[in-house]
Amino acid sequence: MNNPLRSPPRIASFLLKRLILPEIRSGAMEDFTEQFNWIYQNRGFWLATIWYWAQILHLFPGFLRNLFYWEVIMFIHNFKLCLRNIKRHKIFTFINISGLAIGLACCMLLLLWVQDELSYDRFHEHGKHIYRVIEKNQYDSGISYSASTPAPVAPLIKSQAPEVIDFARYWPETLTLKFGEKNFSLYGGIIDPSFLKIFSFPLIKGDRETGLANPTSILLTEESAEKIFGNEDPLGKTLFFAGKAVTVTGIIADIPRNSHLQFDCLAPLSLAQELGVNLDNWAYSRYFSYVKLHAEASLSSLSGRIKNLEKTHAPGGSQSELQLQPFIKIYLYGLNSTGPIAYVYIFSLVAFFNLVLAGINFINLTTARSSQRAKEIGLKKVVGAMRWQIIRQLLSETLFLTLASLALAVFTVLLVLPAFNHLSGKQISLDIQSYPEMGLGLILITILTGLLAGSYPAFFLSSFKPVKTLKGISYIEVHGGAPRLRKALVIFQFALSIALIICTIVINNQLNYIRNRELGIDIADVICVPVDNLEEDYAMLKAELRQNSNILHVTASSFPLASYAVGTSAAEWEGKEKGQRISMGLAMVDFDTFDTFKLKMAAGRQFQKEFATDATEAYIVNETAVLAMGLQDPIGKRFSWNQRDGRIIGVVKDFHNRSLRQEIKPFVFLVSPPWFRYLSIKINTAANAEALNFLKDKWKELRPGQDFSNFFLDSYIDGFYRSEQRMGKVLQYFTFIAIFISCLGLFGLATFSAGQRTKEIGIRKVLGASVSRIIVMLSQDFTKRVLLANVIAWPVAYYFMHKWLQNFAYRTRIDIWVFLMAGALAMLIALLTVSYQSIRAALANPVDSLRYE
Amino acid sequence: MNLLTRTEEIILAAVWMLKENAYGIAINQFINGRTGLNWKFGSIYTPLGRLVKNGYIRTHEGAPTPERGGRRKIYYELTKDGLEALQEIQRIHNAVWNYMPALEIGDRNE
Repeated sequence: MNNPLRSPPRIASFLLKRLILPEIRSGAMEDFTEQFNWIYQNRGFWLATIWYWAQILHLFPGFLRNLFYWEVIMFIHNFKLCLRNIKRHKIFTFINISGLAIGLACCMLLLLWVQDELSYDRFHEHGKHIYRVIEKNQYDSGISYSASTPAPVAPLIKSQAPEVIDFARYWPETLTLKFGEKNFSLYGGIIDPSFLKIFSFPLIKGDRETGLANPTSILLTEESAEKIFGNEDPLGKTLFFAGKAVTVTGIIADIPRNSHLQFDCLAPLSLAQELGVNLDNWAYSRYFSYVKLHAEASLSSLSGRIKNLEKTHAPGGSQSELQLQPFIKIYLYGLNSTGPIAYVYIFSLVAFFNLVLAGINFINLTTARSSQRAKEIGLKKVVGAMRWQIIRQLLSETLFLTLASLALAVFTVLLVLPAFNHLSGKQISLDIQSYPEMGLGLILITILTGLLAGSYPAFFLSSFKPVKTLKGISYIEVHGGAPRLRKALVIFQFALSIALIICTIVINNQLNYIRNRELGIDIADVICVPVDNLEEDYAMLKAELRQNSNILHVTASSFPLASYAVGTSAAEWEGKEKGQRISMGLAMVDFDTFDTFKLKMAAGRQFQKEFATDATEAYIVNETAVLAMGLQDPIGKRFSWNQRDGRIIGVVKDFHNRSLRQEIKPFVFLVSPPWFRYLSIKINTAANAEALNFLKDKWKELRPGQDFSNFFLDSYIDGFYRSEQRMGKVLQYFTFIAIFISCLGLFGLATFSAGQRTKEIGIRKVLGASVSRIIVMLSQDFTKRVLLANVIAWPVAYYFMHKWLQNFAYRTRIDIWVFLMAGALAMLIALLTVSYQSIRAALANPVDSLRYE
Repeated sequence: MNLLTRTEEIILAAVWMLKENAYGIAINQFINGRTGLNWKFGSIYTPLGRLVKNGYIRTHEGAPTPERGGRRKIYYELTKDGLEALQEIQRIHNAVWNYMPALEIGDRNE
């Protein structure tokens, strides 16, 4: 022997070791080492090393065969056992699988909704670097933000801040386009051409760089192009806008639903300039200004620099501070009132609750049932099963059940998705490709639930000495921690359900409160029609329409009286203190508007035709305005806006004209026909349809070529709360499901515990216990737990609902009866669920129950 | 009783024939030398492991040897099951092969 012995390469021997069955591992490894050294002595180290590595390749196929052969055998065996168990305990399995499936399905639906909300405005390539310039106004009544700015703001920011790559202004306006003899009213954006560089709205035809270079160009969406031109090719077609010929230079793909910017057409600001709009004017805050920043730009430094730009540059001064709002947060967070983000949180929470409830059910039922299997496991151990084999068997069994529930859940979601869309007002489709994270997340959660549920029986039961488990159930029930865990979980489950019931009741109360609150304005059966150049033929329209007896009132105003208005903070009044600043809504109305809407006066008088000066110098303010201005005796005080000097002739009682989330704002009314933009027509309730038909016919006659686009004011108002109402409905359903899931679990547990106590019940009956006594005994446990759950749920629910209500300016109280009702409801449901099993057990013939076993 | 695979059968036979000297390398050399097969060194260990696991073969330690730097060799020997299995194989073998006519094509045609 010339060389000393060497050991083979370490990594190779590590791998090799794993390929050899443990029974002969150490001996075989010695053999390999000896052979390795033999080659090393005779042929050199390198050859020996190569030989050694090659052995791994030789062993591998056999190893795989070995591995899978036994895996498959064990799998088939476990699968068989699993199916037998399912067959033997049909009710348990059904409750188990369906409960989890319902929970998972709920969770999926809600998460789909959340995902859809979160997807808003995310499709823009540069979305993360786009900001909207907003104005922050400090009023005496508080801070208010404005999403629009004067036209010179955006270019000014660009010239002052190098980190601004580009800016674009967007002025939303309803445009009336004429093609041939027909007029089309389109919702348009009048924009800087850079708008298409900042945002990624795709163009189907035309060039996004040069499409709007020419002032007489216009881009249409696919949908509006089809509306105007039908199947003809719209490119190069000429339309007329305000007497000017404009050419269609491109087609925009229809705006995705999940974009908060919605428009039918885009026209360049240069077109507006040619029509006389002055883009250097600081007076009108009507442009939405967007800026795109460099990726590395520091937002805080930029915000500091632009803050006072408007104050310092606006001729005549301004009080508005400029701020930047991230574009992708606009939809979710809103500006002055919270956007859907509150519901995103609530729904995520409810989704999580539902999942937790279903998961707890699954765990509870699985652990409860597992103690019945102690014997099976003990016997397995006696005949030689290793602990890890038992663990694996039990875990794979629960995993199989959970995966079955997942499959069932997906199927359920597919089934109910149309209904859910209808309910939530969305158009969600279950397209796993667009939600890969969610699909993956749900699979992981499902597996985790399975592992959690399976781990207790798997690890706990498999750890017992077989002799003990063979002694029977009682040992496990006494010595295992499971009953206590199960009790705690049931309490938690009911606490969640009760909290959800409370939340649903409070939310419903609030929604009812909003709907039924005295608005102070009668908007029932009022149709609103937007009309161009209304002043010209207002008198004629009014006279013609009033001929029909079903039309009670016809009046005009600058905006639908129950919506937002033009705001001003430039009003002057007698006794105004220096520096006093109030944002007031301005409404230009006709003499009969107050009558039409049945507005009540708190002091003074209405506008009256008989007073010649009312049309030129009379003002009416609302009560909030009087308070805000700090006037003691408002009637007769001087008031002036826009060089229109006059006096306050009356104070109108406050009425709600906006969402009840917001407080009533100070308001000023004046008579001014040039501002008229909307006709408000009050019709006879009884002859609703006839009146509407009459209006449509008459419209064709009086305003040929113009659409009769109209809306009912009350449904318009409802629109403010529609999202709330929808969410309230959705929440109701899901709360119901959550309660249902909890009850399912309770039912399962009751069945189980009644089954376990069969013998006890039998003996008690033999000894003379009455049926009612036994029912009470069996229900007692659960009753206590539900009571305890109440104690936990009440403060939690109160806290969250209190916070949610802060969103509303006008809110209902959270009464104690809500809590009592939720608690009583939960108790009732729990008792009903449990009593079915209890009564069945109590009524059973003791002979049967004692003979059993 | 399950019939063993051909590989297992050969290993079982080799262990029996090698008697006291049946350890990994010897088994390998014996098989390749006796049958003229060219088994790779590592390929006996999978079936060998299976045979040990199923109780046809057991292992025992030998005396320390210089080839292994003074460590002990692991030797294999047949268990009662293993011997019975081998006997069974032999019986079946004989039953099938003892009166087999010569395996040449010409003979059958006569």
